[in-house]
Amino acid sequence: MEKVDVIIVGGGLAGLSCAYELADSGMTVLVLERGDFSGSKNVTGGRIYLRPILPYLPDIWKNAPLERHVVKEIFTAMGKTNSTTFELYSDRFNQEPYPSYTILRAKFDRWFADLVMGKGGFVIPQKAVDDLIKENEKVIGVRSGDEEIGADCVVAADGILSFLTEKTGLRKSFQPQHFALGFKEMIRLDSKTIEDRFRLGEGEGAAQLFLGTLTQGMMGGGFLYTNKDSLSLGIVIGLESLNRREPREEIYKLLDQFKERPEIKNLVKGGEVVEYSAHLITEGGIHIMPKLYTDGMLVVGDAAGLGLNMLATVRGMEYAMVSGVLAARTIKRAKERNDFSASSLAEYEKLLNDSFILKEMNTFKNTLSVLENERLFTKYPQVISDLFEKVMWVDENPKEGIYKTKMAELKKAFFNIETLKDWWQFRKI
Amino acid sequence: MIKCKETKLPPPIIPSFHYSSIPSFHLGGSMKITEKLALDALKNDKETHILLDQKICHTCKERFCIYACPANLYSLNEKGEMVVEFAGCLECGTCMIACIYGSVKWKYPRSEFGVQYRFG
Repeated sequence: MEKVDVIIVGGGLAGLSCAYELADSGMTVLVLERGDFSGSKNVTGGRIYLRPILPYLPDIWKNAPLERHVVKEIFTAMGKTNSTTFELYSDRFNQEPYPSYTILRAKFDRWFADLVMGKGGFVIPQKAVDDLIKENEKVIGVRSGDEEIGADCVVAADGILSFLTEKTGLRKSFQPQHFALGFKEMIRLDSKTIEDRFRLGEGEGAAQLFLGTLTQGMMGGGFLYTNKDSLSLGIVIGLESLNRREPREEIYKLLDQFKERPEIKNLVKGGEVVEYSAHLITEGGIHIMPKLYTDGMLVVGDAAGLGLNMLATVRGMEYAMVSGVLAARTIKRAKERNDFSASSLAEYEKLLNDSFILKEMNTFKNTLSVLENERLFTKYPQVISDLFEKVMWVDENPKEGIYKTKMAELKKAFFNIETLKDWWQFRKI
Repeated sequence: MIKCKETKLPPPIIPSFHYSSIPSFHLGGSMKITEKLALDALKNDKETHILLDQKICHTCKERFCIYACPANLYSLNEKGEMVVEFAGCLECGTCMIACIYGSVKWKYPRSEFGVQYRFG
């Protein structure tokens, strides 16, 4: 059996970051990627926050193929026939180093893999790993088709459905309440039109989140990201919510219905749909993280359940990249000791705990229980727009005093036991 | 031959190495789901990567899979069996998790097969 120092299963952000950090360590590193190229099996909304990653990977960004840096954060509360939008523009977001960029994974990951190869790592595409090779419960290699490759250490970077963590008993079986389905269309639109429609300067971007009737009572929301010359338009739905929905309807129709709304129709007018994609997102947070290591193996990225719904935004790509780097550092030290046992690799968990990753996952550990409140997706977005609409409506009747009638509405909608309880829940995040 | 509920899926699309000639669909009327899938670069294996346990499906009333699959690949055939048109699979794994009865035996397609995203 051929043997290398490290096999990284999965050439996504976590796997490639691990390989990049290991590339000049003198160890032989193989990244095995099942897609035709890195990124071909990955999907994001999406947008990546650079600043948490910079301390760990400071040098890779100069020619990185990122899309637009986000200077506008837009939040839309959708009612059945109306919607209210809050839009933040910030000079602070518009200064280098820009805090976040929209990103396309098939483009970015592919480029990153080339970077890793340039640094001496080997990224082998079209190489799905079918099984682990174990010797007395210690992972000593992988099997891909008929080929067996041995390694001192295997890194499970095989994404959100991680079969490697299943095969090593590091995680429990998946439950619908811990996942959300994200599905989207890539809509090609020329950059000038994007900049005109979103009122952006050249190269600037917007990120928009939608909450309310678009998910028809289910937990989730919509998103729209501006890329260089395309839009990513999609919906995220909690799987348990999807399963419980009455009356039943195929989920793909939700995106078509969303696009029928004038608010969306006019934003994507004249665009060409060029891709349709779907991917799962972890919603369970810190509670459902698998064990992060075992004899001969470390777990990084989505495979380690490192993803977070922070309501105002979602996190995952930063966690993937930094966890890859931390895993690499752990492996380097394990190599010095020539000890790849669980107790040696346990340092990885300590590094994660000390980093922003687990600190944040801890801070937001109650997000799911807050999200389970269906009024977030039904009543509250509707009430906001209805109130605004009532204030702005003028017809042949004499307009009533704003304070008197609107306060009555507000009181009815928000000053009740139910809402006070909801507000109390919000303190958890 | 596994048949889809509505129109048959278009023949497998073998992408060239240059992804520049990307098919597209102008927004006007709404696209059918099969049309959206036809935009994607898909290389289809001869064998399915998704297996269903018909004994379990037979007792299922909810049919979670039909409603959860974003590619609309699940349907009941004339014999009342659950079938999945694996050729359009977006490889999200939703069906595997949505089926709480454990009928869906799911793994990724073999190397070189399945969807290859060009944007992601």
